[in-house]
Parts: sequence; structure tokens; C-alpha cells
Amino acid sequence: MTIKNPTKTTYFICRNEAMEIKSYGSVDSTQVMVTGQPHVKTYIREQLWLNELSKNGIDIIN
Amino acid sequence: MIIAIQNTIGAIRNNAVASANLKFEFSVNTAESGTSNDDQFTLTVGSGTFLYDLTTTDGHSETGLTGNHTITFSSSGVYSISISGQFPAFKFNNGNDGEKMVTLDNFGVYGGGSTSQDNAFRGCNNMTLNATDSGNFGSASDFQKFMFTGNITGVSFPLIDTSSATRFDNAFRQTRIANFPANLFDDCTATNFANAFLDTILSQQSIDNILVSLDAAGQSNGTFYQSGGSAPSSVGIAAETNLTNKGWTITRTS
Repeated sequence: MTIKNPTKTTYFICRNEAMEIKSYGSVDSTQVMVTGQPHVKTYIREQLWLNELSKNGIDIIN
Repeated sequence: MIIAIQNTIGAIRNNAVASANLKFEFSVNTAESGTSNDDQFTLTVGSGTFLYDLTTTDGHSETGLTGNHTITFSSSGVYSISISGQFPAFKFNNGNDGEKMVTLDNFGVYGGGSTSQDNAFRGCNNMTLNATDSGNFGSASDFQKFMFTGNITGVSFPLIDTSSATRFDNAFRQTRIANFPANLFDDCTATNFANAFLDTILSQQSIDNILVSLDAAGQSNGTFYQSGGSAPSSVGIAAETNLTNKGWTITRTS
């Protein structure tokens, strides 16, 4: 899957076949994201993305 | 004839040893903000076993140091510091006297015996990286936030040994170094490069070098992040395709 130059910053969570989180991050209008993971969920609202990560024991430190 | 050849080999060896600068060398401006007084500089060390000697350009000479150490200079100003012995890692950790670091001129003995470089130069916001040597990073596994700063500048990052490295998350975040060498990650098993090159100024050759090197390392299911700087050429994009085929997630400048 690819997310390329989104008009709004897009947050994502990538999971493998076992639905384990393998990667997460954000893509802005100057970037492209490509992944070999089979499951990708995207979010426009950062807080929803943070909530999902937090539920899985991942806290983002800026 | 044999003796002449042996003498020649010996001379070459001696010259090689003589030309290698094994001192860890850097300069500080004591007037910049920090936790020590404005005529002082505190070396804040990371994990590992330390036994080092230091000299400074104003004539200080101290030996047998084993950990954190504060140098008091004759007055506020810029001074060069040279360290020999065993010095595994700094750990400025976005505070302490990190902002007093002005230049990092030679890694030399730096890194010897280190297992972690986490937060080593984080917050050295006034530092220019001039070092071109490889240091002694061969045993370091943790490079998280290694040079995460608002403004470490420099022309090039040197080719260091990353063969024991397992993580580089936030390692070079917000650095202002355009050039990273080929083969930097060829031998490392790290897969965590989350925010490693966030808000950086990588040249196209550098992002190509990095992606090609990560591909050469042969690891799977990694994460890599770049923002700012240049997009890769077709060479880098080919490596990126190989990486995504191995389960990597790559976010980079387009």
C-alpha cells in the first residue's frame, strides 16, 4: 500500500497477517509512505490514532 | 634484502600509527547555557566503564577520570578538550552542558567499550560535526536519539561501525547534515529507524545510500522515516521496493 502526498497529514498503523502492529507514523503532503505490511489503517484525526496506539501499549513521545 | 623489506614494512606501520589520531577531540563554549557555571564545562557520561585523561587548550591536564567531571577554566570562553583512554559515551540527554558543545572534531577513542549511545549528543544544539574518523562504535547496540537536536550541523556523517546496532529511532532527527556515506548500515540488524531522519536535509545521494544500505543489510519488517531533504533517485527507489517486499514500511520525502 502507498500513501502519497496526502492533502491532510495522514496517520497510519501497519499490521502483519497476525494483526500485530509492525509500524506506525504519519505522512504529510511532501511525503510518501510505502509498506509491505498487509493491513494498513489510516486516520486523519491524530487523537484517534494516538488512542489506538495507546490501547496497544504504544505511547508516542515527541 | 629481507631486513630492508622488514624495515620498510615497520616504517609504514609506524607512519600509519602515527597518522591515526586516537584522541577524542571537541571544543566547548563555556558561555553558552548549561548546568555548570559560565567558566565551566561538565562532561556528562553515559553507560560503560570510563578511565580517561584529558587536556585542554588552557593547560589543564587531568588523569584517571572515571565518570562525570567538571572542568573550571580560567575565564569564560571557547576551549578545546582532548581525551585519551576509555570513554564509551557522552549522555547529554537534551540538557546538562550539551549546548556548550561547539565542535566535535575527532571521535578517536570515543565509543570504546560502549553498548549504548542513546541520547549521547541529544541537545547539542550549537555543535558542528567535523569528525571524519570512524571512532569505536563496534560494540554499541542502542543509537536511539544519538544526535537528536535542533541544530547539529556538519558536511558529512562519517562511516562508523554499526554492526552491533539494533535501533536508530530518532537517531539523527533534526540534524543539519546533508551527506551520509554508502554502506553505513550494511552489517547492522536494526529495523527500528522510526523518526530517524525526521526534519533533516539529506541529499539525494544520501537517501539513496541509506536505502541501498538497509536493503543490503537484509533485515525484514523494519520501519524507516525521513522528512525534509531530497527524495531518492531511481537507485534508492529500487532499494525501497526491495525493502517493502521484505515487509518494511518506508516514509520519506517524495
